[in-house]
Amino acid sequence: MSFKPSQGAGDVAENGACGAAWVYTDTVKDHFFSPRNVLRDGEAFSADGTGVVGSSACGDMMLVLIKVDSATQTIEALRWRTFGCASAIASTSMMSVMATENGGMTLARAERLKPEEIIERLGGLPDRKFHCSVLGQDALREAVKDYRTHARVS
Amino acid sequence: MQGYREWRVLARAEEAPGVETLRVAPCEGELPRFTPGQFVNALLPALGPESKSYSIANGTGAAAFLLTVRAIGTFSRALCALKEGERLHLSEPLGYFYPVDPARPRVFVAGGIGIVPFMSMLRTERGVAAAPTALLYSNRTLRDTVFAQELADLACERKNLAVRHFVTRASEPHATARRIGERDLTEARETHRDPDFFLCGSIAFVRDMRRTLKHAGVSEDVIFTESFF
Repeated sequence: MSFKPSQGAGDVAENGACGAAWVYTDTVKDHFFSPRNVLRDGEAFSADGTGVVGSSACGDMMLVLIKVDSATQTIEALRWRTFGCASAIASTSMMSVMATENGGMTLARAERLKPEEIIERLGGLPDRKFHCSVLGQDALREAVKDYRTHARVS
Repeated sequence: MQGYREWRVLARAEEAPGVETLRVAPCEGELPRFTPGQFVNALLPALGPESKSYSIANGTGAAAFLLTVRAIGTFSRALCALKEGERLHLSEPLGYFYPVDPARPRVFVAGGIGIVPFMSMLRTERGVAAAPTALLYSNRTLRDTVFAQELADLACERKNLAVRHFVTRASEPHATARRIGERDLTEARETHRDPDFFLCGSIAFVRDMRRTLKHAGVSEDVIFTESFF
């Protein structure tokens, strides 16, 4: 497996699964230090769908809240909180941007969002952190499922 | 443990070197319903609170669950060593790795033990009308290829199932001796008229296959992934 050290802004080290030190991309660092769409303490956010995945016993837990435009079936807004690592924070921050940019993802598209897409937008993550992108994506899917369940009932 | 039930091992069988199938059933209550392609989280309390995910290998309608596991780490080796009568904890079936529209043609791309969720789908479809399917299955050698005979039988039974084997470390009859490439995926796409692509295997395998599909102009909307980690 090839590895090259970061040369500067935007450069990405190749897969570090061989044990070599991983250099996080500037995008990952940006989303870790300035995460988007985090549910702040005391913030009122009326969610149309809620997804919770993971467990604190395992060290990863994720909450995703979505507000849905029922006419267009798109995600109007999203908030999240996590008990997790830097990669989980960066992944979910990026996921929240992808879900709400350009007028918001349709629910059908959100259900198909893949961890690989999130990692690609981040410029890469080490393979041992792949599960961090899965966590956010799973929580988003659960939130969409929760919305659809309540929409059928009401 | 919340969200988990206790299951017992009914039987264990070797599928290939280092690969075991455990036949398991709940200690109490009914077998849960599931959609082929889903997985369960497994807990072995002696190894601590961290769970590992394993795709369900059986079809729906089976009397027990089958978990086909490659022993590559501490947890999977412990799972593969379980004896008849021993217990483990399993979650309810989880996951979204399955066709949304079962009528659409599909191309299954499996790397190694990534074949498991596809076996659940193919076993469920045995004897019933199903969408045209191509399976591109990559392994190091044919000796490592799990379910080779069963796949050959399924392909004989079903006119619209094509199975193609790839081996990356040997030259074998009835297999293409190289990695799955863009031309193989493009050929499957043309043969099956704009199918959905389902990719399952290691993180590196799925990443490589997805990138190859994107390079070939395949839309993200028809690519479904499940990476084993």
